[in-house]
Amino acid sequence: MTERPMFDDEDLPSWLVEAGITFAGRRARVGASADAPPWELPQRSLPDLPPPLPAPEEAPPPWATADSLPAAAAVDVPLEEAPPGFQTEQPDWLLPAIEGAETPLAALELPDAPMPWDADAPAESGAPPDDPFSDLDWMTQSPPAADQPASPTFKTSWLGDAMLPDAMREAAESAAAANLEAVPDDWLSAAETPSQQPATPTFKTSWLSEASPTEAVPEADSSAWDVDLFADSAPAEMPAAPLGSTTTDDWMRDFSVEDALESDPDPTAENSPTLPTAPDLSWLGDAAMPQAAEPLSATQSADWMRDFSVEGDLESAAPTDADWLSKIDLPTGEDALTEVAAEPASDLPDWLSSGKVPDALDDLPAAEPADAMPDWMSADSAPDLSAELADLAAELPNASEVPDWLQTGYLEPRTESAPPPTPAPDLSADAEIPAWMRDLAPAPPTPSALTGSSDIATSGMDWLDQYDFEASTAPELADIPKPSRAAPRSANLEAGLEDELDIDALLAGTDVPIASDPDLLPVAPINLDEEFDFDTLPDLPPPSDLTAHDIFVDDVLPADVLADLPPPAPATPPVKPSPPSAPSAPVKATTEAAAVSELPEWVAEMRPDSSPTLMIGDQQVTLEERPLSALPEAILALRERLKQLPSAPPPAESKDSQLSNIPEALQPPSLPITPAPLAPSGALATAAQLAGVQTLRKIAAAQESILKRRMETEASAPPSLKLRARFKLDRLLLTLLLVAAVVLPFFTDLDALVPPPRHANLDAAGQARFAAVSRAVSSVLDGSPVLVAFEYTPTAAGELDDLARALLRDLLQRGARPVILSTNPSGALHAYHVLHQLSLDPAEMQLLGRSSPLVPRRDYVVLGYLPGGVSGVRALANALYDDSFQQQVIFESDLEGLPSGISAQTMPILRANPVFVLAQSQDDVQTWAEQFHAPASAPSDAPLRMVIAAASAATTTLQTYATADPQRILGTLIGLRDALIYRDLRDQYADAESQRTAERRWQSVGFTALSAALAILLGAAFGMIRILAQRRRAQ
Amino acid sequence: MTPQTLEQIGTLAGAVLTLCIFSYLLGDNFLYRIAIHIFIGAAAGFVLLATLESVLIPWLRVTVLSTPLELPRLGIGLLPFFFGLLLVYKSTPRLSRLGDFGLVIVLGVGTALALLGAINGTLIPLVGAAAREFRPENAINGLIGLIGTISVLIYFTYVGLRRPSGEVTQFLPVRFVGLIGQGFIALTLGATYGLLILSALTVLSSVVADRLFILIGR
Repeated sequence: MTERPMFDDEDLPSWLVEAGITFAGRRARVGASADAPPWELPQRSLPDLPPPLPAPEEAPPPWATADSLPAAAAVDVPLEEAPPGFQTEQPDWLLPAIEGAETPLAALELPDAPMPWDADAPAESGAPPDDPFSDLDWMTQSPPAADQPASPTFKTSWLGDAMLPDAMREAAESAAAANLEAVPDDWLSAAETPSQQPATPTFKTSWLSEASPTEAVPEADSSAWDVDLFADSAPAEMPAAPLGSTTTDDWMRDFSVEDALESDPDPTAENSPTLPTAPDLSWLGDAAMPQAAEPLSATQSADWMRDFSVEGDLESAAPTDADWLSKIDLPTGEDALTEVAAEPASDLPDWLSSGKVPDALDDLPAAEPADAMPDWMSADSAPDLSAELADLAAELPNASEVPDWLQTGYLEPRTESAPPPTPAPDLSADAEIPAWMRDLAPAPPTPSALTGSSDIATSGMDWLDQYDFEASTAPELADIPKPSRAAPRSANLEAGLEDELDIDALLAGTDVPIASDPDLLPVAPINLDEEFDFDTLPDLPPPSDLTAHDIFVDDVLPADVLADLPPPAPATPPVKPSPPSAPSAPVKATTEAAAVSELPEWVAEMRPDSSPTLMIGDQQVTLEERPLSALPEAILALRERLKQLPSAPPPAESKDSQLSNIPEALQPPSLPITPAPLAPSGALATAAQLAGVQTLRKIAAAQESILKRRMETEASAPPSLKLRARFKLDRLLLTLLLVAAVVLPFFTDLDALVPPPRHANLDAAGQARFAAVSRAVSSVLDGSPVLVAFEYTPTAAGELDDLARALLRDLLQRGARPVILSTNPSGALHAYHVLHQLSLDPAEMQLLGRSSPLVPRRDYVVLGYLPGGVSGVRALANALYDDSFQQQVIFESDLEGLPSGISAQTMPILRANPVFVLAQSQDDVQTWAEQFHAPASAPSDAPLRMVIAAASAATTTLQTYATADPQRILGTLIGLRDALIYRDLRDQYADAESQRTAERRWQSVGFTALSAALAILLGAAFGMIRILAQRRRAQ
Repeated sequence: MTPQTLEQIGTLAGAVLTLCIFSYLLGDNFLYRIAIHIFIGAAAGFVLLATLESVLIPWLRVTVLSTPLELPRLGIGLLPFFFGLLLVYKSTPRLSRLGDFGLVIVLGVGTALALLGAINGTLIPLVGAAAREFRPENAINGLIGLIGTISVLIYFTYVGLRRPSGEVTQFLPVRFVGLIGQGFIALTLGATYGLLILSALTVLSSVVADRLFILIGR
């Protein structure tokens, strides 16, 4: 859990600081250990606290009658047994009580042994910024001064004062010693008189209500938490208590009289883990639950408060589970009732003024003189202090910061009520709490508690027992109840609400005015995770617009419970009824969106984990849930409007619906759809448009009929025909024709039809072209390396192999060493194969004048594959001039990975000799013609020259480049015909038979080309006749 | 087994595979497909080996593995691998943006080289050659070349005029000259197509003469 503060003390309104509801208060009890959680680090003092009001000496608790004072021996505890802090730093309001050993407060003198809170930091230390329990600091703050009237800070801070030695020390230093003498010592004894406890409304500590009990919290832990609420360390760290307790959970035991405890051992001590000997709390039981049927044992009682009592044994203590507030706040006694009845009606609380006084109030004790009461009690109970309280509230910098329960004088009933002033069930304070916190909070005290029912003892503050506020670490999120939309309230809570309906009925009947603006309903977001500014709380409207009924209707009570609630008072303006189709949806949605959007992080994490899932077919799409407030205002407004639309009840949504799992999904309103009258056809389309529509319909119908007919044909055809390839006779005939044309010249003499290519038969231009190539080959120096580019794959070998062999023979005959490269991996390999075949042919070797086959890397070099295409050719041109590593990469090794023997000294020779390029396509010709240029840094008088031998398909491109740049392209050879001519020119035929065989190949090609041309012409003519015939038939 | 025997086996295998390919004339069949698969597989394997032995290993030997090791050479030697690694990222949609950097290098360099080569190696030489053709003894060829060039360029002009009816048409002279250019294009494509057929027939003749005749003993 995050350790950030719920709010900064600096941002708190002054009245909260004065009340001790600060984060620093929590820090005051925290030790300075290094491993302590942030909220237990030292905190700063509270210098901003207003000076305590003078203690009204005439303000004894109403029940502190003389006859109800406990015996002095009951609280006779040695001072040295009290904690050190309590010895010297008691607040001023306690100092009078502890002054005398005979007073009950003498029991507060705790021993010198270090107590758990001794390790806590002093109040002067700075408050950490993070403390989720800052709102509990009222427990640890210094008590109000003696002269300070009752104020909201008085709710429970007096208890924290008793716990904090440092605070007590400060209070003791600042308080006048006269107070010790002014206040009677026996007030506390009087206060502990069970039968004289005045009736007082149980103030609801609503800000603590978020720590509501959950089912996950075991009962055993609950008691432990109850102990830890006021103990700062584990029981093991607890010093030896004078009371002989084995555990430290009952620190308040130190307040009680040791003698009483020792002399009045708890018979249930064996079962009690915290209190071997408990004082008598019968007065509490009598006061709080006069009608309690079963007195509870010590293990079930409020241990610390039980210790606080000074007389009576635990067996007689009827109070049940650990609600000290309920025990104190619910006194009985006729005297008290009488005193309450004597108060002016204006000063009475509403629940009293309404006449619904519980029966328990009949036993209220008589009011005590003011001088017999401690200052805080007198301040709280003195009627005249109401004016002081009002003055104090008026002195606040901003009246809006004062809660409504303070502004509305809700504390006034406390003037005649008894201490301790527990947090009031301030409905206006509840109104400032969002709904989710109220859901987490325990059920408010019920009227049954006021009537002395046992419910108050069991449900008043039990939820607080579920949490360990003194633990070293904050409660885990898992321990905190997680509100869920599916189950927003736990069963216990709802059950508790059902049991505690009377309080709502009472509140509703008394017309407690609260804010009525729906937008300012108690779901106003309080971001406790962030720095909370109470100043940002919305100003509540005048307290005459909304009743408690309005609050609990939508947010707290379920519908069935709501139905059982008594109607609001006539003076209360009724809640505006929502339409039946969307009952209070807009308001609730808005408030919920606002609350959800500003939830603190740790609360937001408690929201449902499961995101809504969309079922789209067989796929699940999990949607990311975002708060409604993230939507634009326009969308939110539209959402509200949609909800307000009167619509019929939506049909039962099936589970298969796409929005079935989205509770917040907006259902489309069932708007009445009235079919619009059809417009006249003439207004829709013109005649031309209608004609077009008809045409489209015809096309669609024709297409549909074709498809239908095809489907019928395929369906009716036998399966054997379906898989059989469609045989086309015309293609077969053409194929056979071409094959015959190819083969026929090899079996017959077609010299008359296709004359063999001879150099002598060429014209002058043709002979000049071959002469240029011959000169280029002749220009190669003997024994010098010459580049030969095999830019063709084996698929073009039938045409270009003859050209390659012709050029290689000529080069090899001149003693040149061909250095073969290719931008195609297959080209390099094919070059290797061609040279290998050439070297294996004895006739070829005889033709070359060699007696031994060609040897790789000596007679020729097949370099590796030159990658990059265009870039490779460019890199090759640069490498011929640059002796960088690029040159080494290209020329260092051959195709087999062996050293090629080409060095940098060979480069000038390679540059001087022309490059013989064997190109398969026009792209190859273009690449070499464009990229094989000398770099700009090279001398211009030594360009790179080349001879390009290309396939017939690249004739046009090659001729163009050769004509355009004859200085670089020295000569061209094209196809098989030029190869045969060049062989004839260079006399490369070994014998006449080999020449005849080669010429038959050309005749085969020629005859096949002629046949193909005839076939194409015949096909074109047949197609034209067919088209004409179709047109004639069409006409 | 002598190299000659291996050569004969290779020749026979080539002849059989050629017949398998020719069997496609009768339709798609198993023999055709298996021959295609063999060729594709053999080509892919060879390309892989050629790339390793002819490109990567020499490159690494000269740059990264050179002795003594030079840092600039090392950096340059690793640079192609870096760009290659970037190209690998193109296979993943999530990291394809990284692959764009490698692709930019490849396309940028290739485009720059192609543009530079087209200007210096094609456009300027062809313009100069066209200008040189205008000689008295070769005036007809020059005129044909000029007309052909201008008409083809005009044919690819897509500037028109929108009529009041909404129809977009070209000027009549432009259409006329464009029609001439269309004729030149047709002739060029026809010649190219004819040359392609001639190349194919040459290959066919070579295959028949060099491979199929072996099967019949010629």
